[in-house]
Order: sequence, then C-alpha cells, then structure tokens
Amino acid sequence: MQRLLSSLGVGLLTLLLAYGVWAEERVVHFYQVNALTGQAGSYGTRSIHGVELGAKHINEAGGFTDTCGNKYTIKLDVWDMANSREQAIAGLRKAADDHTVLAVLGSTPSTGFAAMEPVAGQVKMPIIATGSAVPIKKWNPYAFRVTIATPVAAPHFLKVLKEKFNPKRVAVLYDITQDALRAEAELIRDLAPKIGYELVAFEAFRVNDADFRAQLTTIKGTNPEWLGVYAANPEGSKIVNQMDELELLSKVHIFSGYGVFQDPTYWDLSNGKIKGAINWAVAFDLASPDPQMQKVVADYRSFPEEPTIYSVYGYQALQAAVDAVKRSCTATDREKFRDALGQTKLEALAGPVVFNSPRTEPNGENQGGSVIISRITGRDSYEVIK
Amino acid sequence: MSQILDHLPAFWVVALITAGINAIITMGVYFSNSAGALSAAHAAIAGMGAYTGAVLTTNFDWPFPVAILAGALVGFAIGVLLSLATLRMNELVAGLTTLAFGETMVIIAFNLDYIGGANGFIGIPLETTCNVVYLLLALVVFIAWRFDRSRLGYAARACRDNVHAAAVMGINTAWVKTVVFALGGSIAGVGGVLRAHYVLVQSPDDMGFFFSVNYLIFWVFGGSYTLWGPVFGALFLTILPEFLRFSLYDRFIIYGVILTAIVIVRLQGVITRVPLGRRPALFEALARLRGRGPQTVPASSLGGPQSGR
Amino acid sequence: MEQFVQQLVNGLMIGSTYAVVALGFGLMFSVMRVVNLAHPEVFMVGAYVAFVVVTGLNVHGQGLGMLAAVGLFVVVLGVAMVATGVVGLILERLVIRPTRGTYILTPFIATSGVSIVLQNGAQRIFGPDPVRIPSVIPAHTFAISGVLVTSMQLTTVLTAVVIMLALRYYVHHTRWGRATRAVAEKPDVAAACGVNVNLVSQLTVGIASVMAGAAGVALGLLYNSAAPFMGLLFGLKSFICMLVAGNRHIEAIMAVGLLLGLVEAIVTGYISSNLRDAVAFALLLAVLFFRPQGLFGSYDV
Repeated sequence: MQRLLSSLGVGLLTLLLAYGVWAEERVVHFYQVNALTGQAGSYGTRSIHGVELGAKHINEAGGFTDTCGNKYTIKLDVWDMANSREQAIAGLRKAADDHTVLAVLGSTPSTGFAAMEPVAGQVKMPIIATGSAVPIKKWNPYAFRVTIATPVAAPHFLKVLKEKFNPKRVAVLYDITQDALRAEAELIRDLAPKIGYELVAFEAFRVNDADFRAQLTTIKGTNPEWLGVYAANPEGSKIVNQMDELELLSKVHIFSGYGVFQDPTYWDLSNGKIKGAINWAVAFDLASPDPQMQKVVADYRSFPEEPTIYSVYGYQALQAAVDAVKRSCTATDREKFRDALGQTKLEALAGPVVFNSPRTEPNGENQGGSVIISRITGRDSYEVIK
Repeated sequence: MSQILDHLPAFWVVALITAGINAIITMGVYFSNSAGALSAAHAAIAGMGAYTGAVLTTNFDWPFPVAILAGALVGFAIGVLLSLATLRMNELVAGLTTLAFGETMVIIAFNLDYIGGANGFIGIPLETTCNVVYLLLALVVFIAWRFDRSRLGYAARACRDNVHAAAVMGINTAWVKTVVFALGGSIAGVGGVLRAHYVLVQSPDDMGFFFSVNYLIFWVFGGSYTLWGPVFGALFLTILPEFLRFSLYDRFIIYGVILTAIVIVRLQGVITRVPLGRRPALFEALARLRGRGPQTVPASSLGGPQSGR
Repeated sequence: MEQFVQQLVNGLMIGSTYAVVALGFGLMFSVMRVVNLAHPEVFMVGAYVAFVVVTGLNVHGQGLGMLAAVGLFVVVLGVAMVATGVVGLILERLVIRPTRGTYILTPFIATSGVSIVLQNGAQRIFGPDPVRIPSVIPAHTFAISGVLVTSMQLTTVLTAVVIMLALRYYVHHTRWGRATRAVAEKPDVAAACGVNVNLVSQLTVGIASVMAGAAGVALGLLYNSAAPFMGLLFGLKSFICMLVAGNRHIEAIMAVGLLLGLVEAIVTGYISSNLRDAVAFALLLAVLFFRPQGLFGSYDV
C-alpha cells in the first residue's frame, strides 16, 4: 500500500492523511453475564476467562481494525448471575441500558441463557451464549450461541459408532437435571431402532448425587457392551470410579458427548480410569500444533484452572463478536452489529463459527462447528477416530 | 411511578420487580402462618400457580389478569389441601409435611412433559411490569392490614397463641386455620404467576426446598407476624446482593455474614410489633399525643415466640 | 439374587453415612431444639480438611502397607475431627447460643446464613471445581460370593459403626451423656438439678460437628473428591432421616439411616432410578401422616 502511495505522489498522500485523521481509535465494550459463583461457577468462570484471554490477545497486538479502517480496543465487564435467572436478566438489562455496550457474551449455564434469550429480543441486545445447549423453541433475531448442540452432533456420532464398533447392547446413565445431557440420552433412546442397536438400560440420576451403585448394579445386570455416561463433573468421575469398584468398567466401553471426557479434571478425579473412553467433541485439541491454540493454552496458565471446552467457547464468542464488528464498522450500533453477526462465517479458535440468521427467519445456532469423535489416551491427550 | 422508573437504570428495575414479587410471596407466607401453621411449601405453591397461569397464557392465549386469577385459585386450592392435611400436627411436623409436599411437587413437575419436564416451561409472554407488581403488592398489604383488624385476623392470632384456648372460646379453629392458610396460598400463587411472566421460564427447580426456605428467611428476618416485616425482609434481602456487586467474588460471603449478624442481633426480626417489653419511642410519643398513656403489653402477645417456648 | 445382595450392600453403606450425619442433626435438635442448617456444611468442611491434609502430606495410599495406610487414615480423621469440632464450637458460641430458645425458626435462619458463608467460602478458597483427594486406603476389592465390596467402602462402614457405638456409649454410660439426655427431656428440670445447660449445649454441637467431620472425611476419601456444594442433597436426606426416626432414641436414627439407604438402593435398582430422591420424601410424608412424632417417638417440641 505504501509503495503504491509513494509512486502515486502527493495528492494520494494527502488523501490518505485525511483518511487517517478521520478513522478514530474506538473502544468496543462487551458485557459478560455468566456464573462466577454458585453451582455452575466452574463452567461460567472458564467461559469468562476464555473471553478475557481473547480480548487480551487482541489488545496486546494493538487492537484490531475493521473493514472501514477504524481501530478498536476491547473493554470487558463481568456480571455474576450466581445461578439465578433473575440476576441473569438483571445483567442483560444493565448491559442494554448502557449505550456503550455492544453485545453480551454469555451465559454458559442454561438457567441463564434460557431466561436471557427472550429478553435479548425485547431489549434488542445481541447476545452470544458460550456453552448452553438448552433447546430453544423459537429464536429471536438477537440471540446466538457458539455451542455445538446435540441435534447436530449426536446422530453423526451414533452413526460413526455403529460403523466402527457395531454396538449391539447399549445402556445409558444420564443426568436428568441437565438439559443437554438429558436431551442426548433421550436421542440415543429414540434413535435405537433406526441406527440398529438395542437399548438395554436407561437409568437416570440428579445433579449432586454421589452414589450411583444402585443404577450401575442394575445396568450391570443387563450385560451391556457400551455404556453412555452422560454426566458432568463431579458426578461423572464418581460414576466411573464406582463402575470400577463394581467391576463393570472392564466389561463395557464408555461413551459420552460434549467432550466431557477431555476435561482434565475428569481424568484427575477418576484417576485416569477414563482411558479408552470415546466421546464426540467440538473439534478442538488442546495439544494441536495450531499456533493460535498453542498460544491460548500457554497464556491460559495465568488463570487458576485448566482450560476446557467452555474456555474455548468463550474465546470463540469473542472472536465472532470481533469479526462482526469488523464487518459492520461500528462499536455502538447494535442493529448493524446484529445483522453482521447473523452472517458470520469465521474460522475461529477450534473450528468454524457459522451463523445464518436473517431477520425474517432467525436461528442462533452455530451451523459450522465441526465435531470430532475421539478416544481418550491420556490426561491431556486423545486420538481422533473420525 | 413510571417517571421515577425512567430515571433508574434498567437493571435496578429488574431488582425492584424481583424484590416486589418476593415480597408478595412472603406476604403469602405471612398469611399462611398467621394461624400458627409453618409453611415450607410456598415456593411450590407459587410454582404451581405459575405453571397454571403460564399454560393459560402461552398455550391458550388467555388474558393475563385471568391467568393471575387462575394462579390465585390454584394456590387457594392447594392451601386448603395442605392445611387440612396438617391440621392435627404440631407446628414443626406441619412444616416438614409442607416441605415434603413441596419436594414431591418438584419431582412430579420434573416428570410431566406437558409443562416442559426438566427443561421447564418456556415461551411465556412478558406481561409483568413494575407497576403491576407494586400495585398488587399494595393490594396485598392492604388486605393484610384489613385482615389484621378483622375478626378473622383476631381469630387467627388466637389460634396461633393457643389453639385449645381459642377452641374453648368458640372459634372454629379448623375453619380459621384452613381459610387463612389458603388465603396465603392464593397470594403465593399470584406471586408465582407474576414471576413466570417476568422471567419467562418456569422450571421445577424453582419450587424446591431451597426457595421455600428463602421465603421463610425473608419472613423471619423481616419480623414474623408483623405487617411490614415480610415486605421489608423480602425487599432488603433481595436487593442486598445487588448492592454487594462491588465485590465480584465475595458477594455471597458478605451477604451470609450480614444475614447471620442481623438475625442474631434482632432475634425477633428487624421489624417487631413491640420490641421485647416496651413500645418504640415513636409510638409512645404518638400515643401520648393522642391522650393515651404508655401501655405495658403482656409478653404473650408479642410476635415471635410461641406460648411459653 | 447376587444383584439383589449387591444392591443391599450398596444401600447399607450409603445408609451408614446418612445415619452418622442424621445423628448429628438429631442430637442438636433433641437437646437444644435447634435445627442447624449449617451441619451439612460442616460435613463438607471435613472433606476439604481431608483434602488439605492428604495433599499436604503428599503420601500416596497405593504405596503404603495396610497398617501404615490405616494409621494415615486415622491421622486424617483426627485432624478433620478436631477442625470441625472447633468450627462447631465457634458456631455454637456465636450463632446458636444467642438464638436458641426463642423461636424455632430463628436458629434455623441464622445457621442458614452461616451455611451460605461456608459454601461460598469453600468455593472462594478452593475454587468452584471439585478437588481430587488421593486415596489413603489402598484400593482393593473383595469379592464375597459374587458381591463386590471395596476396602474404602468397608472403611467407611467401619468408621460409621465405631462413631455410632462411641456415641451410644457416651449417651448411655457417661455422666455427661446422662446430663445431655436430661437436658433433652426437660431442660428446666435439668438446670434446676444443677446441670450446666450451656456446657451441655456446647458439648452437643461439638460432638455433632465432630461426627459430621468424620463422615465428611469418609465420604471424601470414598469418592476421592470434595466440592463446595456436596453437603446439600446429603444434608437434606439426613435431616429427613432424623425426622422420620423421631429423636428420642439415637438407635432409631441409626436404624432409619440404614433403612433409607437400603430402600433407596432397592427402589433405584428395581423400580426406577428417576425416583431415587422421591423415596426419602415419600417416606417422610408417610411417617408424618401416620406417626407425626417419628417412628420411635420424640421428646416434646
């Protein structure tokens, strides 16, 4: 560009100088409404840190520039919703009230997002959820989520399982209180005849349960080959430990969704017993040679916890938001931002983020995530099967 | 009212609406417990009223006021049921029965797919505004004020102080207890409908023991058995965590400490009918102005401790 | 048949832990008419103390001989019991003593404030994630005619039984135990007879907290994890055990705790796992209808 200018002469130089003066240094303000305390605290905190890391990377590189030539730095604020719907809505309202805020990033727990989604449409505040997989009946144009959810991932996962391993007797143990896990368990049950396996046991538990021996003993009695362990921590690792004590672990293959097994806390709490387990996950690999991922993993060490998929979702949400700002050339016009966001096609941290949400037919789901099916080989390592 | 609200930042409006709804439900607790019952089921009653109202507006497009009435009716019915079930039990056991009832309702709601099951019932239209909430709260407080001075109110207090003496005096204790409890239930039902049409999601979790205990905390903290106590308790304890947001991580630790400290210091609740022996100076002054001298109030009519315990 | 026995064994094990925590609730309620909502959080504190001690000592149970492992377990138990005992005594002095005797809900609410502080404090100090507690007892599974029991499960049951026996001895065969029973039955008369009610109250809360702490250690090591909200559901069920059993006889509470564990296991295994939590509440409702003073009778409230 500069070479071109120097060869064209003073006139163009003047024009460029004028253009440089016109383009301002702007601050784009994002608000995070997520669970910092309370029972969902471990997920919300990771998402918050993911967003903060994304902003830090961009700001340290000097900010970013949009397609119209303006430079931006990012400002973040955090609002703790503490597992309460009302506080989530309060945070959203506060953000909507503040005219410098462009979008809300969050929340991760479904209690928050389920409540915030309709309100986002009412207050016309764009919101990008970072991990909630709650089913949304009718999307409003302002709500989006980067989460890859069951309806997209699970059928593919089951088909691959059938292709590669041909399970005949499948059992499921799932958390009835978590939307995403329950939805997937029910999908596994409903797709059994279509895909061609027999569902021999379908047991449930609730979050905060600690003892699963009763359910596991029942499952053991039905002699399954594969067991779907649809649980989050700490229930999941307890299940695996108790499976080992009941001598069930050696007899079945375990599988799950949402990349749960790739969480290092899961490995720690189960003392590595999840080796060999299979799950579908958003295609992110913490050990990937991708330089961006390596930088994220290295810089995440400044936070007290280990990164998991929720940290990635947070980072991706920030990237998607920044990308939309770049295309819409605004830090304050929520309508223009939302329209740009609705047409996102971005190669983000661990895979594409694709939104296709026209105003007439809004749909906030991430259509682009790629899903991998992996087998756990170590605390931080897994091999990709497909 | 709207002009005041326009000057407030929007998220304070959220806090006010939430506090107002909590105040309404806590007044429901006040009513239900005024005849000596102890209800740990009000979150569940509110929740069931909420489901009813929400289904009516969402699935059948009925107007909002009708939904509120439906919630009140459902609350009333459940109140009657609970009261009849716990008639012969002493206070503590009655309370536990209501607790068990509440949890059972949660489990039933979890398994009913028509109302959304574990996902909760979503898609509820937004109908609740600050005006509606505070109007209804004012109405409830007015009803409570009239109730306190009515024969029913005196009968309820008599039942609370000593149920046998009240029966001897000719009060139909069973009827009084049931009506009063059901009245509290209907108010809780109204509060539930308001909440459902504000948060726009109604889930079984919101009906559990934890939330009912919250309402009990508001009630006792504010001053059980006084008119303004429950309202104050609900408003104060709902808005306090918002004020504490300057401390992002330690918010609830501070909240817990404040709650515990105030309860220990003001055992009768923050607002009391008569503090431990004497009327407050302000009331004494007013009474003297009106020509009545200071009165000593017998200990048994104080709000709070039950007959001799 | 073998599956049935396995379920029974599972149930008994979990039931013994319900019993220990329920005993704490029962003690405090019968002696002081106080419902201590912070009791499940004391249980959680016990688990976290175990975490701190085990990771601090940096010993791995797998490498130890049986005797050394048991010794280590006793040390961890001891430290946790002292810590939770102190917590309980502070709780009694600051929160329970000023609020007891007035209205039944006042200490309930004061202790619920304390439980909020403890839960959020634990989350603040140790983080919101569950923490891993390395095993102390080397993991070994015994197969007794097809029924599988692990060494840690056995340790848990043994600990619970020892505690319950110790408590029973205390209540029935010591001077202070007799004083405790007197205060439980008729506090005024006991005071008139010269019993130091305040001291009994402190002892009671201390003992209950120590028991909760022991249960916390046992469960923390059994599940190899501790989390800030682990006390919630467990506490609620233990509380229900106490209510169902009545608080006249501590043996009743022990029996009901075991019974609850058993019934839960059977219902989960043979009827539906969805209904597991409903069992406790159904039991409570049934008892409250037919025998409101608890299955085995209570002292007057």
